[in-house]
Amino acid sequence: MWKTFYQGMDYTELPLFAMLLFIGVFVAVILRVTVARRASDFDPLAAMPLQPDANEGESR
Amino acid sequence: MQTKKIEYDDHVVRQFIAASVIFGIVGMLVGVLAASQMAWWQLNFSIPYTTFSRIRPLHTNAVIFAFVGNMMFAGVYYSTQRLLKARMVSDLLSKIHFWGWQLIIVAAAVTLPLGITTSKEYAELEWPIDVAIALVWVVFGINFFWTLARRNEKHLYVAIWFYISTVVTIAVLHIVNSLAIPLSFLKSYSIYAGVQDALVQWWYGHNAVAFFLTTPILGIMYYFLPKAAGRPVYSYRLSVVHFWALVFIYIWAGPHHLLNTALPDWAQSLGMVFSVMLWAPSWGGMLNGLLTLRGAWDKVRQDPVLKFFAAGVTFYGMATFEGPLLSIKSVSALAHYTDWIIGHVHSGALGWNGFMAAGMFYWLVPRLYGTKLYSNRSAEIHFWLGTIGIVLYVIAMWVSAGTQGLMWKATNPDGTLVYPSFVETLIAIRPMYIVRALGGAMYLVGMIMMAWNLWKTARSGAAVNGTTEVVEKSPEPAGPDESAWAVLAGRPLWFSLIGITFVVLVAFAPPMRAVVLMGAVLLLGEVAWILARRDKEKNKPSWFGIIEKKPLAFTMLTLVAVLIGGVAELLPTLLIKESVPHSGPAQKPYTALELQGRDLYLREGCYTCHSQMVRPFVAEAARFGNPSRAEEFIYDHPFQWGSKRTGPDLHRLGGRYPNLWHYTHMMDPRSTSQGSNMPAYPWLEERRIPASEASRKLSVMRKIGVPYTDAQIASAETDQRAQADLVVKDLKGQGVDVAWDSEIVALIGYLQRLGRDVGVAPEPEPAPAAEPATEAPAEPAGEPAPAEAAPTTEVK
Repeated sequence: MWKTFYQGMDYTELPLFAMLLFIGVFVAVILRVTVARRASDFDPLAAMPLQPDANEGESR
Repeated sequence: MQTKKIEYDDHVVRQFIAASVIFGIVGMLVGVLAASQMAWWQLNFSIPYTTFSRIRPLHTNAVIFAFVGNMMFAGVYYSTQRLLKARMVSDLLSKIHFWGWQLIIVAAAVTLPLGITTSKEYAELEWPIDVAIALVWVVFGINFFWTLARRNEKHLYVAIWFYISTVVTIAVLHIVNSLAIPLSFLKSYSIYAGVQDALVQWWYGHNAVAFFLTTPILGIMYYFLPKAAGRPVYSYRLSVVHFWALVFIYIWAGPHHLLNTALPDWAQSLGMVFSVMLWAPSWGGMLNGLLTLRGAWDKVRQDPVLKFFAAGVTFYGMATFEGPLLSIKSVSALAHYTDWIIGHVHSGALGWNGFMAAGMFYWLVPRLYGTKLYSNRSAEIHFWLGTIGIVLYVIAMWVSAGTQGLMWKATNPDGTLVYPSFVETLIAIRPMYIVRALGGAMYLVGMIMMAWNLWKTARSGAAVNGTTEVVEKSPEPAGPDESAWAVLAGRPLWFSLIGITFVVLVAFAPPMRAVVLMGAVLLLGEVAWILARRDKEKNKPSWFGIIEKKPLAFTMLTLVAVLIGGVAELLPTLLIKESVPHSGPAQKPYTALELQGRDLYLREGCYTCHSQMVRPFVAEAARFGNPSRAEEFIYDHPFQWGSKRTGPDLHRLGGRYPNLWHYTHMMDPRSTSQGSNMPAYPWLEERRIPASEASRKLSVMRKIGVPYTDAQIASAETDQRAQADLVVKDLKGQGVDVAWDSEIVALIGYLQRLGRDVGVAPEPEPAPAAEPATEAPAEPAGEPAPAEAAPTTEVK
């Protein structure tokens, strides 16, 4: 199976298809992250590092 | 509801910071010495332990594993405890981790200058130290995952994910790449050979960069950057995509270190494609970091911590743009083996790792000692010294690379080389080596200023441990939607697996079918999105919401994402015999003397400056001889292809010069190659080879597949003496008297053998396996004539 797999991988075709697929996914992710309305679902998670220690001020 | 107070173990964080700063200065001091040796060869001092080829691995190991390693552990221990609201579960394990890691570093600092090395880049440490690394890493892993299990916070913040990927992937990489069979307590041979060894090594080497120098530092970025800026990460959603895309894609990119070599084309292409794809998640992370600073740029002007973080993330962006660029085959054809690669790794190491470390230390130390930073002005000066130092370093390397790469390739209309003498190309870039040393020295001065500043800060306060209060709750049973089954049954998991399967099938398909399959992948994504929206409208818990609270499931999924690429690339080369052609009995293993000489080649670290891989380019064939082929390396445990050409390629060196030339060259390189910056190796004449180990060496090699016969093993000692006597006699006839068992004789034996393996073209009558290679014919015996362009070359 492996042999067939790599024999079928044309030197010029695979990178081309992979690149097209990649660009498609990339554009979709960009749109999803930047254009889509920011969901508030993640806000509590994103704020996790901002919780200070009980005895942590800013550097004193 | 009762609450309990938790005191974090910040003692271990302080220890790791101190170790990182101290070893960072030591490692960079060695780096500045090594850089200076490139410009002024006299700084090698003709002492084995200070010779460039031995201290270069010391420099890389110190900076990667001692400086960045300790920094990473400091960041992981500090942030993990706070993100999980739990003290590290075992102080004892933390202590074993800290002291064990420092002992490993000391062991490296002792063994590498002594020439005790496997010669595998960034994995040079010998097997007992490798075992110690594995054990200490397991201790770290147990401490980390046990703390995850005992956490008082349901959710796992994205930084923890990056730490998880580091812990599991480094374990896999280290174990697979370090598999070796011991010859003695401090000497072993890789179980892999030639092409296979090269692929495994650079799968490891590249992903050590990925999962030791990148993912943990990204975790640190996601924790400390929001903390220092006082605002949450720009897009948590993007961080989720960043994580999964990065860990899945990174692991495939290793073969980009071997472009245009004898590695099979399919592996080279895979490495190139995934390297280019890697640009997207890398920049996703970089932009997420920088955009976190939106609205806080006024703070960046005043706060050295944010300055270091902003510049560090920017250098990450630059390095991760340059990496994919260098991974394109045609770019690699020019850049590989030149200083471009050195400039690239230093913009990453000094800019990304070094600046993130500085930012984190300047933020952490005042808090760990309950005081404020001793001198903001000193930190500012450190920042500018470091920045200018990096810029000088990187620009010098770019100019050097362009100059040397183009000079190597320049040919006249008749096909001959414009610059046939290699040393001519080296002399041309010497000014750049001086600028590089200056840039490195400036960076080092900044590091020393940081050490002073942090020391004064610590002295002005007292060690304090962070505390927090958590609500004590009885454990709640997992609901039906949060069981392990919910993880396995999650739609996103199955959609992802089906999508990956479709993408793999594209490889089998002719163009039209491939387009249909790609359409199917896009359709799948659309369906997944619609279903996810519907679930959200019904307020069903998301799959992400389930797995981000389950460390075990999360770890397993991460491991699968990482292993897919590793298995797809490594297994075919390791398991399919046809992946490396064998020509049969005509391929000869090294003789006993050549093997002894090869071990000296490894000990002295010749691979740090010389490649053994002639790439299939006209100019390379004209300069060095016939392009190298995979089948020529099947007995090379380990491979010696190298990654940098400060000196010329050596794969076709055998038979090109007489023995006397080699002797003279090793004793005083400038007597044969005026202008060379190669160190002299006078101790090779004084020292003796371990002659009695010859049989054992052959015997161990046989265990890993080298076909030595019983007779060859039995007569190894006498055979090596006979071959050495021919070299000795030849040298004596020209006025040089050396002992038969001196190291220089064995090394000459090995060098004269290089590239003369006639096995690549079957002979009418197989030659005896232990044929001495001490003569110096004009052309390597049994080889076809050199490539079209005549070898006008002198290898200097």
